[in-house]
Amino acid sequence: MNLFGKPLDYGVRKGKVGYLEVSLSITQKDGYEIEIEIENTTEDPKFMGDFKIGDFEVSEKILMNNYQSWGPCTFVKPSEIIKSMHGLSANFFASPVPWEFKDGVISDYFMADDKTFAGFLSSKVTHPYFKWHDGIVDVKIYVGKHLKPHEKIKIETLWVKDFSKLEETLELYAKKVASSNTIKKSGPLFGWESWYSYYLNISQDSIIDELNRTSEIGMKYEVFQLDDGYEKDIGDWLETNEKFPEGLEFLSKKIKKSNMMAGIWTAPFSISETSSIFKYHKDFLVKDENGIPIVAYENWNKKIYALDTSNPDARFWLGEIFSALKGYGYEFFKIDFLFTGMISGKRFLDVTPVEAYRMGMEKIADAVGNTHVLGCGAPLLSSIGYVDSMRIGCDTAPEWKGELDMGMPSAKFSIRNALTRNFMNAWWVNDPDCVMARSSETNLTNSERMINIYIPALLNGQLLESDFLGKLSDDDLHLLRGSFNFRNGTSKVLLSDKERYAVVTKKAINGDIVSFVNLSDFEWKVEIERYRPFFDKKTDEFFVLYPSMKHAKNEIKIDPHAVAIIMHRGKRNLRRDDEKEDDGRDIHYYWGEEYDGTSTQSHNR
Amino acid sequence: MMELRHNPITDEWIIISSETQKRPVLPQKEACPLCPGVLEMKHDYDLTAFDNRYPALRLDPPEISRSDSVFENAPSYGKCEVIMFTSDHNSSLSRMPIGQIEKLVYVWEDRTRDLMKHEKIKYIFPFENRGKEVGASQIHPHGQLYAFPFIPKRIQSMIDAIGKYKGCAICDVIKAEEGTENIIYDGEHFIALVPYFARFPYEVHVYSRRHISFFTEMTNSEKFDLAVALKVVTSKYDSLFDNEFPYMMEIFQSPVNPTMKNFHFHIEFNPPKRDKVNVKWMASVETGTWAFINPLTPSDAAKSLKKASYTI
Repeated sequence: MNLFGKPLDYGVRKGKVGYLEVSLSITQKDGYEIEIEIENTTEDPKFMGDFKIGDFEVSEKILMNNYQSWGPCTFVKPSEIIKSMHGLSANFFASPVPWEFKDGVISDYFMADDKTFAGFLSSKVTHPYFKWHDGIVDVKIYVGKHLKPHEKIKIETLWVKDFSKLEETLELYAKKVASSNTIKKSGPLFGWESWYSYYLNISQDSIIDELNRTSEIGMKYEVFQLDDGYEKDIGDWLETNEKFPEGLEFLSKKIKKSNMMAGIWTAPFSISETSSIFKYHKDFLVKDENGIPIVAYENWNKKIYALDTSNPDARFWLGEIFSALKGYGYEFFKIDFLFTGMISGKRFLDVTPVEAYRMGMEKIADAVGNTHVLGCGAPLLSSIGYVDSMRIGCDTAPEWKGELDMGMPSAKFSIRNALTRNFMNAWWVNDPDCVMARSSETNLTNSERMINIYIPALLNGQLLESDFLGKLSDDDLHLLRGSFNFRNGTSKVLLSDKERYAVVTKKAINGDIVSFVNLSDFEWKVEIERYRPFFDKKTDEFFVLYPSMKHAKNEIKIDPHAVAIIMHRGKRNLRRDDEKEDDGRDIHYYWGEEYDGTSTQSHNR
Repeated sequence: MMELRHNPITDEWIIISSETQKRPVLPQKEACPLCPGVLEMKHDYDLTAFDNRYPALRLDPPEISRSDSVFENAPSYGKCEVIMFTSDHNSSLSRMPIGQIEKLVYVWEDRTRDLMKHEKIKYIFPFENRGKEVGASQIHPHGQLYAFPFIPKRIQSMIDAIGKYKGCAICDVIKAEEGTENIIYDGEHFIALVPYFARFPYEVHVYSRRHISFFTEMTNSEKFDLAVALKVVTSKYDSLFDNEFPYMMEIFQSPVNPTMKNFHFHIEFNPPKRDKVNVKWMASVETGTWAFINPLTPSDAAKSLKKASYTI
């Protein structure tokens, strides 16, 4: 990597970018850590957009990451996809720096080729990214605000490392990011949500019907979450539409009576053109240079504008909404389309889009207090510390949809991101999006359903289910229940290539597991022995294929769009402690090995 | 009063034990004597085996006054143990993770190995009574184990049948049932099936494919597969009528002191339910004559159980 034209080496380096002086302080820490400070060296306030601090040549294939939840994190050959990226050049959904797509391929926050990893450790002030063009990657940063004369700001730290094993480097990166940010994280939850069954057709009656069915089917959900479809309009969150005549408090009380956390979906930084808040508070919106509100995106057949979270009145309004929802009894907040809060534009305060975004997130966090926040459609690095869990892939779908990898709903790419972004579990609880247990009203094959249900369980992230509960067959319910026994483990994802992944899970409820996920359209032959170094050795070990429970041979074939789940077993070494009761009776305590991880607390579901 | 009494009319031993009358019955969860730290176990546990507080048999039985020649009696020598499957009050074999059931198999093995060291013990019998329909006094998942100083009557009839049969009846049943619709779990080392000669509606037998006689002869892989078989059978039972299915699970190993190599290890599930609501009682014919009337054709029971969902 070259920084300001000179090869990467430790020490202090300065460079000039327009009005800016950029100081780099480079130290060796498992590679190189580069602290960056920028200064407006002029006597006038200067607007700082994007600037480059260095570049490096990369191999043909790179690991690319999009900045937000839905965007892909995958291996690509940039030269092959650059043309298809041009269409994204006016789309905040795809990037906070959409103009860069005109002549490049963007990887936000981090990237890797076959030997070098480069990643920023935070995004608290600026948006850091990498721009590929013509075989070269530029290391860039977008500021997006004026710097006062001679104002100096310290921005995000870059970490660069040559590696031999990408998976280990991603884990190390995750740890470094975690220690550079304050983490807010609670345990993964099991819940139900309305989206993938009802979509926008949800009503008060139907959600109460589903609520009543939870006890009939004996599922002990921890969360019961109402998704999009209840609100009067996007932005008018406390007003329900005619399908919810008794309002939001009525529902939360019903849910709580059923001993579940009441959950609710909002898109807090999104304001629809037909909402009351748009009508009465255009001052709350992010605007262009001419003072015209910027359309952040279009959805629900409406133009959607962005809340200016640097505006104290807008922030007060935002806080009041979440305080009210919390007051109604909601304890689980899925906050969606969060990228809207970080679009470029003119705001009340001269702050960067990242700073504005974090002001909004902080307001929500303050309002909801010690409840669970699930981020979605969110700028990833900038959200650390404000969410307990985070969607790390596109929306899933009741169909495979394996063609277009651009953040649109897809069962395939939702799971792919859950695998490639598994290391982000160190920052929050990963939410790979909903599982669907249903065998009817789905276009997923049985083996695709196995991937959809079992991979989230194996990765031990959030487990939210979205089905018509009354339409689930006994087999569907047992398939879902079976997946619970694969939770509670620690998983390492081995990135074989962009469509084939091995997942080594230790100490799941069902013990140690290795799974091979074949997202490709071709059969995959695997030799289990090749993965031996990733297993803990067991005495008298054997491998059993789940769910057939037959012994797995060394070489197994995995069908296209299928997962092979293999239990790694061996001799159990139970410890026995003998005690004598006061009345002389013998009592023998038996204990399973610590490493095996089998919980005595079974999932009573 | 604790003693064994011989019935010269049927040539069987009866265990007289007024202690067992003192057992508590079905307490609420808060008062469960089997939960950690409540009564039986002073601290947390994974699995335990302990001497029954109300035993019918004990290694130091009270002395007895000898009877005359018609009324033969003997000390209640033996062991009655309670085996805790898990500290999780709300679990069951059907809901437990495989690993927990696997550990239970290891505990059964250890108890067998321990108790067979007592020369006067002739038969070691682990079992589980699940549900109030079969007299379970506690809902916390647990089983029991009786170590008898004699060969119980039904075991003796198995031994007699082994003597009469050329070869091993269980090995032959496995061969005959291979690939049929009666098999509800077709594992690497164990199969579970509704036997052609089932006595109870929804009766299921679990047979080891290899001719082994004890837990102590099982390989680690066999122990694991047995755990899977137990999970599949009990899980299917629960989904059969969508409720907690009562059963008696009886584990048959070879007698000990001396052992019998030709005894084939197996497990019987004897559930009392004939349908979702009704129970098949051990009534006059069954109790008086040991002749069983099964109101459900075994192949029909197998069909229902095969179709029933399960969780591993």
